[in-house]
Amino acid sequence: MKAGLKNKIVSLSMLGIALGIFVTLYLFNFKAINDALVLNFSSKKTVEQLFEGLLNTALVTVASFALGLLLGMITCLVEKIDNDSWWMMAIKNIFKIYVSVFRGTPMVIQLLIIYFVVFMDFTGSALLIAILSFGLNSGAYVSEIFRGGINAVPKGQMEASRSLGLSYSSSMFHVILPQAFRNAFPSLANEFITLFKETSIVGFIGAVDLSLAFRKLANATFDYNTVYIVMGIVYFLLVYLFTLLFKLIEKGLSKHART
Amino acid sequence: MLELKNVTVSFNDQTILEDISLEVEKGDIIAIIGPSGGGKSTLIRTMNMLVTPKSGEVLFKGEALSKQNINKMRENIGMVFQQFELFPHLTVLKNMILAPVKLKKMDKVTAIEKAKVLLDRVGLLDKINAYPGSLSGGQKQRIAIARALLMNPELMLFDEPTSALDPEMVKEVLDVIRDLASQGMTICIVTHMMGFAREVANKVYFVHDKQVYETSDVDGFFTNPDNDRAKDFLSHINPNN
Ligand SMILES: Nc1ncnc2c1ncn2[C@@H]1O[C@H](COP(=O)(O)OP(=O)(O)O)[C@@H](O)[C@H]1O
Ligand SMILES: [Mg+2]
Repeated sequence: MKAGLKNKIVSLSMLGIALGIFVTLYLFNFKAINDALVLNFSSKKTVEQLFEGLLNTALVTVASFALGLLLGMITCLVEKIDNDSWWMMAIKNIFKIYVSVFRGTPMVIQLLIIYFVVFMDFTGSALLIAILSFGLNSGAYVSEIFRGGINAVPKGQMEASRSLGLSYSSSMFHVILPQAFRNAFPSLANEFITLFKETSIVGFIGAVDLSLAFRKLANATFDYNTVYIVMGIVYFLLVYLFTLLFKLIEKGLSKHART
Repeated sequence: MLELKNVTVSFNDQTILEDISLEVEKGDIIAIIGPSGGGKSTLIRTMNMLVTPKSGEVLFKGEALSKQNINKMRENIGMVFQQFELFPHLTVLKNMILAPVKLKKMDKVTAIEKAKVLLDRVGLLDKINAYPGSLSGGQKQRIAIARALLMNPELMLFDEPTSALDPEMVKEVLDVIRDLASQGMTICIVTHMMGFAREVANKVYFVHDKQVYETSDVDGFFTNPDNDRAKDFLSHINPNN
């Protein structure tokens, strides 16, 4: 039997068993679990707060990812500029320092420093600072992802494009980057998911994301067990959903990959 | 048409070609041959400045190639690579019309019309909307040739165009090049196909030891070369090529 098929059978049956256990547990504790869920999640206000938290999480994730893509692309292209004037050297070094600082320190520390030190006197929304921090952090990682994606395009592609008379930037834009993006897509998807999970620390600067909304709820009802387990399940399901979605897109993208 | 004047090429202080001067004339079919690693690719890549010489000049129709004019010059010098280098994310048609349309050599409608004519000429009109990934090596190389031709070049450079092909696909690609040669295109081709070189070429460049040995006596070169290294080289290769 093929290994792939075997694996599918094993994983499906394990999923079945796990579901079976959950259903059994649920049936035996039907009343207790239901009561706990009703107690914690039935009020309209609670649902609204959780939803607001989810929206904030989505906002920070998507906005900082977009910012990260932009910064990452700029950083990666600056590195490729073929110019060794003093000015360019200085600019390239600034970007190098940016990447190593943001890759070399924990996200929480970056968030705290940006909020409490750099923007000490800032009175606007903590969400904005969160987006900026995560965007800067993500940009440092995305630049490396793009660099890998570009390096994975065979050198001959640029040469072929240049041989046709296209300029370096034209070749980059029409020939290299589309392929680089496709190469980088799995890692970019990964970065998005990492961001989504990491944004759960924005509570440190008082921004109310999904996880803080859950924590507030637990603090109010004192039923930490139920609330935290539901929180874990919600996060897991969302990540699972993203993974499936990205897999689907990836499949579409790789249809015309190099053979 | 294309002239190298005292060209020296080095990579990391290692000299690959030293003080080469030669001239490709209009209508020439030049076979570039020699041992592996001898600098054949370096020579042909210097001709369109994919490799920048350390010293010396490359002139195309009397004008020296430079950073400033290189893109314009390359529009007239087609190049075909061993690994085809079709753009995998674009269809055959888009592969072909990308450069001429972006460089405003022709409008899109004209480009598509001409692309169809060329595809028909290489026998692949039915693949116009295919992606490179679905083509065989021989088909890819024929498309790569058609792509270069769409720019309407005056000189075509080929760097081992059949070396990455399965044996049964070599002929279809050589046929296209043969056809091109018979139409009067100026061609430089790096090849290990000695039979083909002897058949189409009117000049041979034998590249070895940083030098290019040039001869117009093609038959003489293959039967009884007066260059000892060439004699040695030819006696060690498969005569059935
Ligand atoms: N981009 C490069 N950087 C460094 N060395 C190179 C480069 N291209 C070619 N060489 C070297 O130059 C020599 C000639 O290579 P090449 O022109 O490819 O030979 P051929 O095509 O005749 O096999 C080889 O020793 C090769 O390693
Ligand atoms: Mg070579």
